[in-house]
Order: sequence, then C-alpha cells, then structure tokens
Amino acid sequence: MKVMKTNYTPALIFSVLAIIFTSCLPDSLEVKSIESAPAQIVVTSSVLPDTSIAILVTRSIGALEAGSDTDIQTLVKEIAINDANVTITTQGQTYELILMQDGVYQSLGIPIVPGNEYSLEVSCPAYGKVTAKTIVQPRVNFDTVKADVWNNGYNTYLAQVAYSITDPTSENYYMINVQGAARASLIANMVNPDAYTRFFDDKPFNGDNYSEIFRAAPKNYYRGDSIAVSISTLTRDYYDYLKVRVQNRMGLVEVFSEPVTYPTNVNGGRGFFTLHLPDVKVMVL
Amino acid sequence: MAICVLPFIVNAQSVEVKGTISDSNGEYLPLANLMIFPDSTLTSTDLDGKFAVEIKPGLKKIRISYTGYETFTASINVSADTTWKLTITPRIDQLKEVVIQENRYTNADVVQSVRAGTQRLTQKDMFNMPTIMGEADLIKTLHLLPGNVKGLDGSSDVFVRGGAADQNLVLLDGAPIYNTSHLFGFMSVFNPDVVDNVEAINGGFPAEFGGRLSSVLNVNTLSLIPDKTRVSADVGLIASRVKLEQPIVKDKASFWISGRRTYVDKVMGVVGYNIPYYFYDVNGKLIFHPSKSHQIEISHYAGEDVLDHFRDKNGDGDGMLTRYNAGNSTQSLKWVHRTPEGWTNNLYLFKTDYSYRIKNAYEDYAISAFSNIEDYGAKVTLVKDSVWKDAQLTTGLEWTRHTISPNVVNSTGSISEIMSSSASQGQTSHELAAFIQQEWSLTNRMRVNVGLRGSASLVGDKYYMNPEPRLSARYEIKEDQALKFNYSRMAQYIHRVSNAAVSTPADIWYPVTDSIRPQRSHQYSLAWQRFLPRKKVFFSIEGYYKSMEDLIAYEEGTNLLFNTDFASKLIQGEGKAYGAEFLIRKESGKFTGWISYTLSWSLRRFDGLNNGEWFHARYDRRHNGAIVAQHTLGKRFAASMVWEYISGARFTPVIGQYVTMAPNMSGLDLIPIFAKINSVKLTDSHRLDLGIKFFSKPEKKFKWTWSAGIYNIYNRATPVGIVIEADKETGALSYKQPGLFGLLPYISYGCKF
Repeated sequence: MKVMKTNYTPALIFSVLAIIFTSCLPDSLEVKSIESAPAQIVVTSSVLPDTSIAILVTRSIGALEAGSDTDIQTLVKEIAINDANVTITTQGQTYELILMQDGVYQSLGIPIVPGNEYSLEVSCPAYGKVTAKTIVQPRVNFDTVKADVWNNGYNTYLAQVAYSITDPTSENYYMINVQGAARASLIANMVNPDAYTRFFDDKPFNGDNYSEIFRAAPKNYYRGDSIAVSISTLTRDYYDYLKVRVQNRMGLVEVFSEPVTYPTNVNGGRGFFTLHLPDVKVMVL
Repeated sequence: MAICVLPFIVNAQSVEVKGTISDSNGEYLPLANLMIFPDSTLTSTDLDGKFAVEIKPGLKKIRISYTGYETFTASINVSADTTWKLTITPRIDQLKEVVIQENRYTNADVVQSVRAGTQRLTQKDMFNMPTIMGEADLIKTLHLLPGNVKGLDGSSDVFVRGGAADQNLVLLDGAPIYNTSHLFGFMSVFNPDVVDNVEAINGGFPAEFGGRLSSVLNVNTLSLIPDKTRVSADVGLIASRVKLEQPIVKDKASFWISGRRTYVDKVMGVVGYNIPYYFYDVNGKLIFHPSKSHQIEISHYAGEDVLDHFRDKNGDGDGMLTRYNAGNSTQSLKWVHRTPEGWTNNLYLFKTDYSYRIKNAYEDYAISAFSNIEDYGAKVTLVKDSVWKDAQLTTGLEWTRHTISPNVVNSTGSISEIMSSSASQGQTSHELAAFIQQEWSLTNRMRVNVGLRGSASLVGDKYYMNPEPRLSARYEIKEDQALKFNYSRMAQYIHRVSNAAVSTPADIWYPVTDSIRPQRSHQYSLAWQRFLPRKKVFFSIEGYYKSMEDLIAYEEGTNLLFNTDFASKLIQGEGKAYGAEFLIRKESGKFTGWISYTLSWSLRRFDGLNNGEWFHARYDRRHNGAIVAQHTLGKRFAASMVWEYISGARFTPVIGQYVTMAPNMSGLDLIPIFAKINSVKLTDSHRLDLGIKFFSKPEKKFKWTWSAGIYNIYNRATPVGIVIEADKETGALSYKQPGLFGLLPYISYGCKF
C-alpha cells in the first residue's frame, strides 16, 4: 500500500528562513564606560520682534541625560543657568541683561545698529566665564512677498511663497524661514517639518534684484492658515554653522553617521552668539 | 602533487637534474613536458617517465604539462646535481574532495620567491571553511589571513596594513573591479565556483602592479581546457550556482559559463512575503590555445544588485516606488605568447564599468541618483627568463582611461524644494605607467629584484607623475627558509569617496584633479619565512612600516548622501601604519588550515580634523587573529572550524549635547557633542564557526556534497558602533554596542558530473 507523502518543502524552507532572520541579530554588548563631555556654558541669542535681545544661557549635558523622547521645554528648565551675569558691550557701552525666566536673559535698551560689533560676556559661579563677538549685518527687507496654497494633485498641500529682494552690493548670506504663525507650540528643531528654512548666498546676483518662488515642504498647509515668512542676513560664520546643521539633518543610521564638531563663536563654551534683523511678514493663506 | 628532491654534490658551474614524472598512482608518464626557467630549458620524459637535463645552479621555476593532468608549477632552488621525483595529478582526481590535495599554488613557492607580503588562496581554501549562510566567499577568507583587517562585520571591505578600503587594486582576470560587494556588502562579487587562484599582494609589490597604495588582489578564474563536458551546481539557503565547462576543440579550445542568483525574493514570494531584492552574477570565459606558444583567454563578468519595490497601501495605484540597481561589468582579453627566444609576452585588454541608480517616487515627487565609472585599459608585459645569467627581466606599459560621472541627482515635484537637482562635474582621466624590473642572484644565497615604475595621471590640463621604485631582496638561510626585505613606493590616482565606517554601493570614485593630489606611500617590510616540505607547513613572520601622504578625507559635517558638491569638501592628510604578522599554515594532508595573528597600528592626521592632531584610523584593530582548521574524517566526511578574535574598531560616540534656539525662534535644537574622532575603542570580539561536509562515494560519476554548519555558534555580537538605547521599562538611557550577525545555521547541496 502506498502512503501519500505530504509536501513539507515550503514549510521547511519558510521555517529555516525564519530561524535565519530571527536569529540574525545577537544581543548588544554593554559599554563599560565612556567619559562624558564636561559641562560648559551654552549661549544662543535672538533678536525679538520688539528689537530686544534675548540670550538663552544653559549648560551642556551628558549624552545619556536626554533622548529623543525628552520634553525639551522641561529639559531647558533643568539645565538653565539662572545665576549668570550677562552683559553686552557695544560702542564702548556695557549693558547688563536681566533674567526673565529659565535661562533667558533680555535687555530692551540695546540699540541694534547694522555694522556695529557686539561683545557678549557670560559668567556664573559654577561654570566660569565665556565670551563671544558678532557684527550685526545690514537688514534686507522683502520688496514683495506673497504666499498661497499649492496642491500637487494628490494629498500634498504646501505653502508656495513668491518674494523679491534688492541685494546690497556687499557679500551677503541669507536665511528664509517659513513657519505656521498660529501654532500653539513653536518648540521644534530644524528637522521638524513645522519650520522650513533655506539658506543661500548672493554670489549669483550680487547687488541686483532677486526674486524666486519656492514651496515650503514638506508640511501641509491649508486655506486660512497663518504663516510667518522672514528673511535675514547672516554673518558668514553663522551661515556656515547653519549649513552644517542642515547637511546633517539626514543622518541615516546612528552608528554610520559621521561625527561633527559644530562650529561655535563662544570662547570657552558652546552655542552661537549672533544678532540678525529679520524682516517678518505674517500672512493668511 | 608531491616533489621529492634528493640532492647530490657535484660541481657549481653546471648541475644535472634528473628524475621521473609520475601520476598519483605511481604510474610513470611518458612524453610529459618539463620546462625549467629561467634557463628556458624544455625537455620531455622518455617512455619510462624519466628525464635528465643540465642546467645552471640557482632558483628555478618548473612547469610540467601533460594532457589530462593539472599543469604543475613550482619554484625549486638547485645548488647541486639533483634527482626529482615529480608527481602530478590527473584532472579527474581534483573532483575527489574528501582528500584535500596539495595546492598547485603551494607556499613552497612563496618561500622561494624574492617577495614577501604575498598570500595565495585557492578555491579549496574558500570551500573548506564555514561561512555566513554557507556561501563560500573570497573576501571573508581573506579576512582570516594576516595583514587583512575587516571593517564592519560581514562587509566586503578589506583594510590592508593600515590602509583604507579603497587602496586595494582588485583585478578579476586583469580587469579592475570597483565594487566588490553584493547584498549591500555582505557577500563579494566573486563566484567561488569560477575562482581558480588568488594572489593577495600586501607588500613587496612587483613593478608591474600599481595604482593603489595598500594591496593588489589578483583574482584569476579557471583557465584549463577540460577533456569533457562538466556541470556543477550548488543549492544554498539564499543563493544557487550553476557552472558548465565545455570543450570545443580537444586540447585547443573550450569555454565555461557560470551563474549565481539569490532567490529569497522567489521563496518568500511563494509563502506570501514580498522581499523585492536579489542579485545575480554571470561569469564566462573562452579559452583558446591555438598552439603551444599562444594562449588566448576572453573573460566576461556581469553582476547586479536589484531592489524594486512598489508599496501601495490603499490599493489606489498611488504608492511609493523604490528602485535600486548597482552592478559591475567587465570584459578582458589575455593573450600570452611565448617566443623561441625565451620571451613571454602578455597582452591584456580590458573594459570595466560600475554604476548605480537609485530612484524614489511618491505622488508627484521623484528623486533619482546616478553614478558611473567606466574604464578602458591595456597592459603589455614582456618577460625574459634568462636575459643575463639567471636574471629575469620584466618590462611593460600600462594605460587606463577613466570616464567618471560621479553623482547626478534629479529631483522633481515637491521634494525638489528640499533637495534640488544637481550634478557633479564629470571627469575623464588617463593613467599611464611604464615599468621595468630585473631579478637576479647576487650570490648563491642572495637574490634581489629591483624595479622601477613610472606612473602618471592626466586630467584636463593637469598632470601628475610619480617614480615608484621597488626593491625586494631574499637571503637564503637554509634551503627551506629565507629572510626577505621589501620596499615599495606606490601612487594612487583615483579615490573612493565613502563613509568612514562602511562602504556602500553608492560610494563615488573620483580621480585626482587640480586640487586633489594623488595619494602616495612608502612601505618597508622585513620577513622570515620557512616551509617544511615533508610536513607541508609554512611559517611566516613579517614586520612592516608604511607612511602615507595625501590621504583623502572630507571636511567635518559633510553629508555624502546625494551630495554633488563633495569634491570641494575633500581634504588631504597623512597616515602611518606599522605592525607584525604571523602565520603558520599547513596546506595538505588530512588536517589543513592555519593560525594567523596580526599586531598593528594605523594612524591618521589631517589639518582640518581633530585639531590637526594624530588620531586612530576607524579600523585600527590592535589584535587580529584566526584559527582555521579542516579535517577529513574517513572518505566521506570533512569537518571545519574558524575561530576569530579581533580587537574592537575605533568609534566616535556622542558624549554630550546642548540646546540652542533654532533660527528665528522657530524652536529649540538639541545638538550632539561627539568625542574626539575615533577615540573610543569598541569591545573586542570573537566568533566560532563550525561546518561539516558529507560527500558521495568517490567512485561515483555523479558527485554530490551536503554542507551544513553554524556561523557564530555562541551568538556573540561583533560591535559595529555605539548607540544610545532607552530601557523599555524604566526609559533610562545607556550606551550599547549592537552587532549584525548572530548565530546563523546554514545548509547547502552541491553536485557535479
């Protein structure tokens, strides 16, 4: 009597392959010790719409103190340096900045004049003193700017911005920024699609009028949304720093990403001290 | 094959060499051809398999050819009247895999050669050890020999004597191969079925080779004319291979063709899974021996990795397309002509091409990247074996034309707002070289090889020239052992722009330009080598020092992904590497294998990196050792094992971070702080692989082999880097070192008839 044989070949192959692929990853090995970077004063700056200067003073932290799931606002509260002495000196006059909250120091009375040099000094008992200098770049305003919603025929809706500027004859480095003006939270880093930033220099059109149309990708915008479009001229060193940040936003796999030492103009610390005067236009799509 | 040398002492001016040539069954072979170089002496055995010739004393290369038998070559030092008992192997006997035959490319030749720093591998070396997924692999075998440091676990990168992965000239039948990997680096492009022998030159470079700083990997495919049709096939877990050898005219012409393809896509498709990836290789060769003085070989290779994936979640026809193709293609012609005057003239013509295409499309947007390098080249080598006393002269010319389209990125639709279309400047460059070298005996014990290679590269109006002197010297301590010294100056005119951690198929080859100078190196090595002929055991201890100039790196923060402006980011610096290599190798008998160990350092310095201070190379692995063993068990079983120990590679982990305001108050930015470049050493790793083979009965015409084994039997990770992981329960962050390949069982079936 013949016995009917069941064909187990596909199941066998599948089982073997399943074993292969599931057994492929071994357990990670522990790391005994890696020396953490020493804590340093971190300085960043911004010129607020009311033309006051805000300086955020924090300390750097270890790699294991915050991760991708960390709430950055909470983190800033923890690492803010609130006992610092912060001064800015320009044209022979020194201004002391006042702590507003969570490491943010502000001063209303400092005149921001393009072409002038500004020296920052931050000192605190725990981390010593850092200094930095910057020169305010000439302000360039939009000659024209308008925005609309652009649809690609599928489900993508982008903010399409058309603008024009008159470029001064000097060497200029530009940053254009588009972000939702009515968003509840502005806490987003540069890889966050909520904020779209582009950089360019004026080599192709030095001293001429320049206009272009671009779409702020890849965030979807809809009719009725408010957006803020701003243009600023940057110092060369801050422009280079931002280019490095943008270039490294697409690191694929952590272990294969290339290490970067981000440029800083803060002597003895980290961060960047820069004062640029943006021309900001808020509009409804 | 076996050689028994029985010396007699007679006189020093001219010595008599007599003996017999027989097969492995002891049957004497009549009318077998015996050639002795550099004397260019040709003789034949008589009807009893005996021969007798008079030659001058010195190092001799002998070559025996006999219809139906393997061609036999060996180097023998003849100092007095001698009797040789030479045994050659019938071709059919090669199929008896149970008994591991002696290699035709024996380490006895290595000891007798003036040069050190050379390793030889054969097909058997690859097949006789357990490997990932059971796929015999040339590069993985090479990693286990001294001087060759591997990169990422499983990858096909080789870092030779502290060099970079792009500093290896990889030749397949004389044609350069620009991307040696399949499966994103985890298998090499060399189909093991067609590899005949491999010469890995890590130091003491002959003047006829150049163009790379660190090594020459000279891969030769099968070139014997079979006496009948032969078919072989192998079915593995992820790939299958098939090969056909076909004589066309008896002893005059034949061809073989071989193919390999992965079929995970097909197998998983049967059970409903979509793995849209495969690779394939096609090798072929036409062999033509129109006369005894002419040999012509035409080789072809084409291989490609293909990923073609369309994902349509909603089934509405609007999905995401991902397409990736990368492949090599080479064609080469080799023409060997031996003249009655004793010249051996070799002509190589080749074309090689490597390109990749990547395309991603979704809705209205698409981004595609393309890169291509195509070479045409020719090389003429003239060799005279007895140009003056026992001197051997080698001279020739070499020319290569590179046409490079380094990186073209096209973007359409909304993606173009983030990544605009751009293209790197295409380049055409010419590499030229002329070389001459002579090898002769200074005394009975001292033999030297002095060479000079003059190389040049022309790119547009710019040209670079480099003299590349070479010197090798061998001092014979005893008949079976020698001290060797080598010096090589090397220049490299084309570079691979690649991530420092791992090469990818999307890496870009780029020639020297106005601003990018050729890489150059000096290498010195001193070696002691010994071969015990009775036990067939080879010993080698070798120390080396290599200095490198104008090495290539790129500015910190350069992202190479889809970067068409990489050329302006390249920087140049210097490097140095030194170390010692140890090898004990038993090459025949029931028990074969080797123990290798390398102690090495490799350092780099670039003005624009690490504050201009010296730092460790990424794969500066201090200790690198392996035990490779194969043992035949009776007539039908063979067991093998590999145990490897390697120091951890160097890594640059994130050691801190800080918060800054993003531009225009658009948020907060968390910026990483990295350690000093390559300042942290990953954990050392070790791995044990075991394999077993079961053969059909040796007398069967249809021969089969079952192979099974386990890679990384104790499932230990070989770290690829350091990552930060959150504990699943507590969320606490910690550093971890992940690995790629754990325990991997394999099984395969091969047959031939």
